[in-house]
Amino acid sequence: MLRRIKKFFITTGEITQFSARYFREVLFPPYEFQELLKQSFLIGNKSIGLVGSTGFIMGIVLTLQTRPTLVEFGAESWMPSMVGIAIVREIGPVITALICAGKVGSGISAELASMKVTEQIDAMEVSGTNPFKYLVITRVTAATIMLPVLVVFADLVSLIGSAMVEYLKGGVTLQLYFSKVFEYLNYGDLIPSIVKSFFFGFAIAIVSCYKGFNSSKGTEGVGRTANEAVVISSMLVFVLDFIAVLISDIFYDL
Amino acid sequence: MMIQENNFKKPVIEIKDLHKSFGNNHVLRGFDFTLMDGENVALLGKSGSGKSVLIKCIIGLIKIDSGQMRVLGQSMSDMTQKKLNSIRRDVGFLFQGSALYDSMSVRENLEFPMRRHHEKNDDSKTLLVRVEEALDSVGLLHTLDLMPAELSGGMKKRVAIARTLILRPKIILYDEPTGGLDPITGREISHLINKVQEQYKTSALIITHDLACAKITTNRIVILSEGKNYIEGSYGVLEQSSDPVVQEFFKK
Ligand SMILES: Nc1ncnc2c1ncn2[C@@H]1O[C@H](COP(=O)(O)OP(=O)(O)OP(=O)(O)O)[C@@H](O)[C@H]1O
Ligand SMILES: [Mg+2]
Repeated sequence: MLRRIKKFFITTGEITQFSARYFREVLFPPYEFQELLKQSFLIGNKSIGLVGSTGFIMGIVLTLQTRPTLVEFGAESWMPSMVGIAIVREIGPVITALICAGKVGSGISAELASMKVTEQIDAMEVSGTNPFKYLVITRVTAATIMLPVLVVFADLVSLIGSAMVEYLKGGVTLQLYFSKVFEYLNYGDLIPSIVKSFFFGFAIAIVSCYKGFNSSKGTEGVGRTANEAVVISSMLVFVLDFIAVLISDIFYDL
Repeated sequence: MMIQENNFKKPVIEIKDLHKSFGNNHVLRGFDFTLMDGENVALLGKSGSGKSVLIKCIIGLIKIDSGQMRVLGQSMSDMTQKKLNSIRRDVGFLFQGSALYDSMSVRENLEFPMRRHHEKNDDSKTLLVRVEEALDSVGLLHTLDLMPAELSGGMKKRVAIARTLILRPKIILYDEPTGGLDPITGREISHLINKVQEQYKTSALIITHDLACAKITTNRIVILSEGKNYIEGSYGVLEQSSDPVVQEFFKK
């Protein structure tokens, strides 16, 4: 037990150092723009299908489940704004981040771990390339940029799902639904959710890169590395979300 | 014109009293070695004796604890990243497990070191010419657009050799070029190493367990034992040696 706690603190410290190294090196040349573009495309391409379908289903499910309660209170007209706020503020970002932790995080950590084990990272260094810049900075930056994009996409698809239910069950037109959503949704909902998405993206990628980069020897270590990366980054998503809610709560009170 | 060749060869790698340990594991304990220009030397040693660690020290992938090391006349201690890169450009390194980039095709694998070391004429046409030339010299021109996963172990080794050659290095460090291959393919690779040496006038340090390879390729053999250069000599001399450590390597 004591060993575990110790290990937790060591890992936390090392991840912090790893992040510090990111900020130290990200601003200085050489910049790997091509690789950054490629990674951004890969991250988007890899997860957009899953993020879209999950978002759509969440939109439908959420609407179907809250609807009866609201109907009972005669408050169906609140439906779009309530679901809209739930999706934009909480469900969109968290679901997207969790999917990316599973899909992108495991991909990055497994890739880097196997590159490490098979000496591809050393080979890069011999070829006059800084592997941290080429592999880590590009992936972390790409994930930090792409996660908010995916979140906005998930929000939209989710709202469309919810609007469809409203149309079929309550005869609310798409136009009316969305005008209601946007009537109640303001920047105070949108901006914190986008900001926290940046942090989610950064956290997922930095943890996955750290795990991959420091993978222990052996090919069976690759699977374990990916697994740990997913677990840690998913936990981190919840922790960050909690912090984000606390902080934005302070702003609401003002 | 008569007095060149053997007489005035200069050292390309000089190592004096090299020490390297990982925690309590003292891998290299005072290793001395010199590689002359144009020379092929084989390094023999038991598994785990520190052969890979030694050549990784030479290329600066592993930091040495103490000792002196000069590569191509440059001292490797306190070296700037830029200088280190320019040395690495002139020193080819064949990794023990080939270390081809899984996510890139054979062609991209070969282009990578050229793009990265900022070759002067790096428009894609001249790059392709050189990639094809290097692949041709290992007899694998037809694999240009394959992925590493589609190659056999021996083919990977040869592609990796081509990738090592593509920058026309002055020194090549081979880590078990014939390891894990059948004797026939192993012999082919040994002859390939000789061909490369003649064609590009390189010097080479070849780590191997394979005596046939050592016999074909090298002028001199160094045996690494207990972290030191235990003995050196030509294949013929060492083969006749009565020293028990040397005998271990040569007994059938
Ligand atoms: N990065 C490292 N960290 C810690 N120990 C290492 C590291 N690299 C090598 N070692 C240790 O150094 C010793 C020598 O390893 P090395 O890979 O050089 O052996 P080798 O002579 O190349 O063996 P083989 O013929 O099996 O390839 C081993 O005991 C190994 O555990
Ligand atoms: Mg080795």
